[in-house]
Amino acid sequence: MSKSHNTQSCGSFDHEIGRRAFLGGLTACGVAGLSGVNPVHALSEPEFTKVLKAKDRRVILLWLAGGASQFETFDPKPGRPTGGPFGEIPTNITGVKISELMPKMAKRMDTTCLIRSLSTGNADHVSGSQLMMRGRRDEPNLAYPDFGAMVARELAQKESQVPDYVSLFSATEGRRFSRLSQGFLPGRYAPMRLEESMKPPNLEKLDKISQGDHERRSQLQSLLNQRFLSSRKTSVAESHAAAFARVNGLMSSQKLFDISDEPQYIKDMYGPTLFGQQALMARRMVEAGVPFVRVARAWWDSHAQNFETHLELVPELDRVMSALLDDLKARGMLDNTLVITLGEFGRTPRINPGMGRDHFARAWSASLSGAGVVGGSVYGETDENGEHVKKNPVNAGQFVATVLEAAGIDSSKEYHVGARPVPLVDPGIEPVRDVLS
Amino acid sequence: MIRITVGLIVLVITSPSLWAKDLLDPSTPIEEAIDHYIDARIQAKKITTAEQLNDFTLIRRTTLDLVGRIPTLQESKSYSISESKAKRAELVERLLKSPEYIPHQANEFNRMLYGSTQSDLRNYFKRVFETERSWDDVFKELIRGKSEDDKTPDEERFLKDRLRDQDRLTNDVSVAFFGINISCAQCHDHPTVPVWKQDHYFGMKSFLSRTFDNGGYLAERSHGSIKFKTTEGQEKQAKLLFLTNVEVPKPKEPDGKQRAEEKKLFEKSKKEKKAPPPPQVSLREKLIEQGLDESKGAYLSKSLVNRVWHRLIGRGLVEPLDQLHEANIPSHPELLDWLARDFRNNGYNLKRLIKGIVLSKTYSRSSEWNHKTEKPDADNFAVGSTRPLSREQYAYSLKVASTNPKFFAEDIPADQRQNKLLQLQNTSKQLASSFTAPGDNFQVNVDEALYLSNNNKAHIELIASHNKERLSTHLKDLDSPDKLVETAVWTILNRPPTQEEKSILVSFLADCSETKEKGSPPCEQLIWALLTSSEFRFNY
Repeated sequence: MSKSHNTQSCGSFDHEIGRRAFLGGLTACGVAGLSGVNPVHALSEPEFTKVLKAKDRRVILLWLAGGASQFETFDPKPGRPTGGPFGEIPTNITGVKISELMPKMAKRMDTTCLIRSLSTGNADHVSGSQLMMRGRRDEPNLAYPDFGAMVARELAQKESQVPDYVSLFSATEGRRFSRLSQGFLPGRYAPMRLEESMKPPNLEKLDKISQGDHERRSQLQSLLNQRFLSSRKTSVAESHAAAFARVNGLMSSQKLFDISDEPQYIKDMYGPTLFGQQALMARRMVEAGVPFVRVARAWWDSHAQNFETHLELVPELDRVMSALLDDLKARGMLDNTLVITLGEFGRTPRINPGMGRDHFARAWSASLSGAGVVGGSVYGETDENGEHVKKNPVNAGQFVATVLEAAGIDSSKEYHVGARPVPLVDPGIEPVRDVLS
Repeated sequence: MIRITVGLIVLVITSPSLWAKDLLDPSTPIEEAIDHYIDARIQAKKITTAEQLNDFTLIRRTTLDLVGRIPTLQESKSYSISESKAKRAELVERLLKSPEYIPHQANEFNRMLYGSTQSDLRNYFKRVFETERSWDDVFKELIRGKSEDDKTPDEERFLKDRLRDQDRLTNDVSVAFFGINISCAQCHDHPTVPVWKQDHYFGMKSFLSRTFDNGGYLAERSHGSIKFKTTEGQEKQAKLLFLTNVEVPKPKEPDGKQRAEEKKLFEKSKKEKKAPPPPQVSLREKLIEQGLDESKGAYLSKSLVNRVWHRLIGRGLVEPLDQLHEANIPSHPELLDWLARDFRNNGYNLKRLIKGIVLSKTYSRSSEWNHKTEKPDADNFAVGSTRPLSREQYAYSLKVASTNPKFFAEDIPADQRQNKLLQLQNTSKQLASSFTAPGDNFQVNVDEALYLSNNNKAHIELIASHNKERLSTHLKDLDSPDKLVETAVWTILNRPPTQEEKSILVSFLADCSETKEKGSPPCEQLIWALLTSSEFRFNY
C-alpha cells in the first residue's frame, strides 16, 4: 500500500515548495496532483537554488516552419555534389564556418552553439513538428506537453501578470501542421495563439464599460472572492480567484503586442518584415516576464526552387536573429534568455530535378544562443556530403532535454499523471552536457 | 509514518473474509448505510465535522447535481420557507423527475467515459436515462455495440471511436467499466501492483483484438490472437485472462477454409453496406460474461459506485478512480462493498444510487471550515467539498441566473417555467463550449476570466439590459437600491445577502452611478461581479 501511495504526489500547482499539503498528500490525496517538485528535493539546498535561478530564465523559439535547409544555413558543404550554389564564410569563431547567406550571424557565433547532428527520424510535417516540440511521441493514453508548455509550467510566476506561453504563427501556410499542446498539463499552460490577428482575444476592455466601473467591479468581485475563499481554501477554488486576478495584468500586457512605441532604430534592426516585428514582440514579452514565446516563420518547405526560397528566407533569418541577440544583449538579457532556431526537420542532401530539397530528418541542424549554452561551440558533425551524422547524433528527446537544462530546468524531474510518474523527457534520455554552460 | 501504520492496520482488519459477513443489513436505506459507515470512522477518530448545510445551500447543491443548474429565485425562496418535514426528500423526488435530469446526467456520464474529448455518447446516455436503463445493460450495450431495442447506432461509437488504436481501446474499456488502468502493465509488469502482469494487459486486449471496423460497422473475426514480448525478451502467447485472474478457455479457431469464407462474407457485407455476420464465438461476449460475474472481484459495480460517489461528494472512496486494485485500499472499504452489493442487488439502478447518496447527511455537510482545529483530511468526508462546476453546469447556471426572474415566478404556470428552463439548457450549449472542461487537476483558466470580462458576446448574452429577458432589465426597474441588491443576490447566489454585504453592495451601486460615464448602468456591474464570483463558479 505504501508503495503505491509513495508514487503519487498531490501538491498543488500553486504552492510548490514547502506546502504542508504535501505531507498530507502522502496518504490523503485528492485527485492525484501533478506537482513536479519532489518534497525531499525541494527542501534541499541545491535544488532550491536551481529553482530560484531558473525563475528568471526565458526562452524564445524561432520556429522555421516547413523545415529549413541545414546546407544553406548552419552546415554548408560547398563544392560537394550536395552543396548547392552558395558558399561558406568564416565566423568570429576560428574554424567554424556557416553559409554565406548569414553574414551577420557569422559575426555573432560567440553567442551561439550549433548542433549539426540532429537525427530525429521523422520527416513528416505534422508528426515531425510534434516530435520536435515534445521530444517524444504521444502514447495512446497520454498526451505529452510541448517543451514550451513545460518551460511555462516551470518558469511562470504564480500570479504572473503576463501570458505563460505565446505562439505567433501568422502565415497561413503550414499553420495547420503545427499542433501545439499543453498535453497533460493544466490549461493554464496552453499556448496563447496569435494567428488570425496580431492581438490576443478578449484583452481589450469593452467600450460601453467605463474604466472606473471596470476597476470597481473587479475590486468588488475580488472582495467577494476573498470572503468565499477564506473558509474554503483549496487549490482549485484559489485558481478561480487567481485567474481573475491575472485579467488586469494581462489586459495591460496588450501593449506587449504593440511595437509602435519602440524606438525607430530598434525597429530598423529587426527589419520591416512580419517575422522581424514578431521577434521584436517576443523580446518585449520576455522582457515583461513571459517565459516562452514561439515565433514561427513560414514556409521553408522548398521541394522546388530550394535556392530561391533560401535566398529570400535565410538573409531575413540572419537579420532578425542577429537583431534579437544584439537587442537582448544590450538589455543585459542574453544571459537569461535562450534563443533557439529549430524546424520540424532539415532538407535532403540530394537536389531534386526541380532544384528543390525534400524532407530530411537523418542529419540536420539547430542552434541555441544565449542562456545556458556554450557560445561558439559546435556539437556533432555530418559526413562530407551531409548525408549521415558522423559524430554525436542527437535525437529529439536529447534536444528537448538540452533546451530544458539550458533554461535552468532539471530535465530529470517528474510530473505525475494520476499515480504514474511521468518524467519531463523519456527515461534514460540525457541532455547534451557538452553544450551546456 | 503514523498514516502508514494506520493503513497497515486497515489492511489487516479488512481482509475480505473478515468483514464480508459483517456488512449492514441489505434492507438498510442507502443514505443510512452511508452515514453509518462514514460517521463510525469519524467517531472512532474523534474528528470534528462541518455543520449540515442550510436550506439555501442544500437546494443549490442538490439542484446543481441532479439537473445541472442553480435553482431559480422562486425555487430557492419557497424551499427555504417551506416547513414540510419531508421537504428534502420531496425536493430530490421533484428533481429526479424533472426533464432536465436526463440531459444533465447524459452530460455527466458522457464526461465520465469520454473525458473532455470532442466525440460523445450524449444521445446514447439521454436514452439510457429516459428509459431508466441499468448500468449492467449500459456495459453490455457498449461492449456489444448494440442495444436490445436496436434503435440507434450510438452505442457502437464507444468501441468504434477507439478501434484505430487497440491499446487505447483496451485501456479505455478497462478504466471506464472496471476502474483499472492497466496501461502500466503494457510494457512491463505493473510497477506498483504486484498482482498485475503483462499477462493481464494482453489478456484484456485479447478480448478486444478481433474487433475491427468493417466498412463503418463493428465486426469481429472468429480467429486471431496476440503475442507479446516480456521485458526479458521472451515471446509469449496472450491468454484470455480477465482482471479477476479467471482464464477463459480459448474457443477452437476455425480452419483456413472457414476463415477464407468468413473473410468473403465480411467483404460482401462491406460492399452491400450491411452489418457483418457475427463471429462463431464472440470474445467480446466472453468479456461481458466475465465483467458481469462479480463473484471474484466486483469491479463493474465498485467502479461505478466509486465514480458516482466521486462526482457527488467530490472525492472517491478509492483514489485515483482508475486504481481500483487490491493494493489501493479504499478509505471506507465496508461502505464501498455495501454500496456495490446494494447496486448489484437492485439491478444496477443508477437513479436509486444517485438518490441514496444525495439524501445522506454525508452529502449535505457544509464545505466551510471555521473551526480552530486543522481541517480533517478529505478522505474522512467530515467536511463538504468545493467542486468546480462542469462547463455545462456553469453555462446553464449563468443562463438561469441572468434571466429575468419573472419568467420563473409563482404566477407563471409550472409547465411554462419548465419549458423556459429547457430552452435555456439547450441554448447554453454554445456558451459551454467557450469554457474548458474540468478534468483531473483542473485549474480555472485565465481564458475563461478574460472571456467573461471582455467578450462582447458574453456581455450581451449575460449582462446587458437590452430586452425583457435579462435580469439587468428587471433590476433597473426596481425602485430602491436595497431591493435591487436583495433581488440580485437571491437570484444569482441563491441566498439572502448578509447585512454587511448589503451595505457594501449598495454603496458599490452609488459609486458606479457617480461616474455617470457612458454605457452600462450600475446594476450591470453588480451582476457581473456576482456572476463571475468564486461563489457562483463552484458547487460548494
